[in-house]
Amino acid sequence: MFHALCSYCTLNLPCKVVNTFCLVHLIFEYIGRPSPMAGLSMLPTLASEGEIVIEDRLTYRFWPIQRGDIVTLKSPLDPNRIVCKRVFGLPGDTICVDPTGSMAPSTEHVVIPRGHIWICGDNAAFSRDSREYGPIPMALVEGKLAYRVSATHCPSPRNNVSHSGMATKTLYQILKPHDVPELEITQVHCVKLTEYPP
Amino acid sequence: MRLWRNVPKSLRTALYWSPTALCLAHSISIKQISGRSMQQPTLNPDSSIWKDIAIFDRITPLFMRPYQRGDIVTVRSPTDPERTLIKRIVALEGDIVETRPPCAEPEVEVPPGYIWIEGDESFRTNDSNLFGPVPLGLVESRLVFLVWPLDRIGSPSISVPQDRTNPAYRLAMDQIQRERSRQSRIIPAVAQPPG
Repeated sequence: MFHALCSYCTLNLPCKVVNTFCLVHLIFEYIGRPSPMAGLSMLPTLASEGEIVIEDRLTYRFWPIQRGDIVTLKSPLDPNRIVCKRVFGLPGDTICVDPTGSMAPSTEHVVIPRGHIWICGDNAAFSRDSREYGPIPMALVEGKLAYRVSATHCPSPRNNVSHSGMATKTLYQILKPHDVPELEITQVHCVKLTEYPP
Repeated sequence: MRLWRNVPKSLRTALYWSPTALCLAHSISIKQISGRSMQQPTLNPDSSIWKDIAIFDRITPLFMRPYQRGDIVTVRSPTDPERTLIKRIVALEGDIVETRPPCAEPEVEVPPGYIWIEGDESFRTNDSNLFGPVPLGLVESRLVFLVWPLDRIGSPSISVPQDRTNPAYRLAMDQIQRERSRQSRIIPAVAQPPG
């Protein structure tokens, strides 16, 4: 019927354009899409600007999310914002809220309730994540990062390295003002990242 | 290519236009409401022998009319991502709600980005009183129109019959009472004065 309405009149072309838009929308929504990333919270894994990643919006519906996956999700603080974080804990896990003790006492532990996950940015100093708002419902997850396209308008391929240096420096300044040398903190931070997931 | 040509033409056109159809069906969907616990007695009341069927709308909340207090909405369950609940929005961000029994604290302030959802009869539902405020991002669509059963067709509003002896009168009064008590339990967020 729709075809009969559309195909033999002047509406044919607009209808086809709308149809194509719908197809693209469906693919982007349910299969996968390239999306630009911005923000400091996932340094040094993702650059703070000019980063393009391929989001996988299909497989997380069939295979459960695992610890260590980088997911995109609707921010619990603002439903219009999409944020990108790493999954640290799954339902039933016991998680130390903040081992550094800056946002919560380092002895405080949380058992993640059913249907929830614990998310954290890789750049702890510049990330609003579960340490602030607690475990979040799994239903907020929208996709998983599958591939990282190399940063587009960053001049050098080592851009991420320099960024990570900057990030850890600020982390160092915030957490331990005087007593630890900068290099040591950088190492600790990076080792933690590469070791994860256990 | 030959395989594609062997497919009947009607099927080919249907396949060609399916993206539009899917998008439309996704944005304005007709769904059957299962379970009596959700919105008793507004939806699926005990007196009804059918399950209610309703039209849900995902488009207008995005662009025209954001979610408001009193809207009946579908929400992805915070405890089980596979399930969808249907509840009424009682309070928005910043509001202070007087809670009902399963909740430990007598009063809760809804944090920014969150809403407070409840079923209409407290003893039947699992709602925010059990799992606390839910992120607005979990809300999927708003119920706009009941299409089945025919005697309650239309948007779910309260219609008071003229005749006081009519049993429907008593039900309507009950609903009005419930709505009043719901509104009296919240202190709406005050708009921040500029500066």
